[in-house]
Amino acid sequence: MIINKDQQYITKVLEGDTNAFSYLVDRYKNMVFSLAYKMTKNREEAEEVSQDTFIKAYTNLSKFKGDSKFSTWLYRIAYHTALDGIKKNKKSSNTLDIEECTHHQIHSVNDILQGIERKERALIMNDCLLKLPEDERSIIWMFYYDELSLREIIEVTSLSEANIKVKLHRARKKLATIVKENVAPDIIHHYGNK
Amino acid sequence: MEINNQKEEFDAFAKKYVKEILQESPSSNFTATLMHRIAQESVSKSKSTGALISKKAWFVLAALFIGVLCLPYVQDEASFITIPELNFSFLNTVQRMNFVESFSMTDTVSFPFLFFGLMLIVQLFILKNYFDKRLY
Repeated sequence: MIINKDQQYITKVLEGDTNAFSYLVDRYKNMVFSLAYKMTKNREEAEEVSQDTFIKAYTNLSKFKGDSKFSTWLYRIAYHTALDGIKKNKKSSNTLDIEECTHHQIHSVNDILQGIERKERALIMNDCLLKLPEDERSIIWMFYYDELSLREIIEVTSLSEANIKVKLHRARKKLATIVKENVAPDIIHHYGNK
Repeated sequence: MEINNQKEEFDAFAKKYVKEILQESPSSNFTATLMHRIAQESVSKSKSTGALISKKAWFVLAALFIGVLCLPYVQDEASFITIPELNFSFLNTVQRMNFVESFSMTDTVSFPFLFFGLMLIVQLFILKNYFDKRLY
């Protein structure tokens, strides 16, 4: 239904109704901005990447043949635009040398997180996610937040399925470890003092 | 078995907590700024995409070209246009210097040149396709 509606607006834009594009922008701007922010870790850069993404989508809209969802096509543009931005700004990616979290430890981390308010937990998880290396961060975000399938992630990133699976596996472990190492002691300390 | 359990636990952990993260929003004037940029780009595009030589001009040029080609056939001897005879005898002096004749290229030299040319042409197509597909 939504996909059909997207197509209706795409057709309108292609017929010369520029304002129809604002529907697509409003519908997908948070999705694009969130991915850009997760990749660049900077609001100004993410805003610039998002603007450039929509400009590229607008100028190349005639190339969108509807083989995939419009959101996936847009995601692909956003992902590569953000990568270009990162390369341009020559940001080095995080390299984490951390001990792996065991499955016993994950239970205690889980318990700690359960004891925190949802809003606060979301902020903590966001901070921890941003500590992951850029490539793993973006894949985790696509897979778990935007619920893109593996096939769609392959389409967006142009990486092989095996590569994505490895990155996803590593990223999950690292995320749990970051939560365990960085957050758990603080929380224990914080709640212990109460 | 143990590895699979572990994998599932990490998967459940990420599924549960990543989904709780709040989606980020761009600035409040994001759409307005973007639509303004698009409007500007549309104007500049419509200005710049006009053909340098209009269709009318192409017709005139084609007619002139055909006219020039046909001129020797339709022209009778008592033509009002007299093309002056040009004296190219100076070329004989140049030829005597044997510039071209003294220049020779061995096969060893000519093959790399040939392959370089071929590779350049192939690469041009590959690069063009790459950039066309990439667009992002």
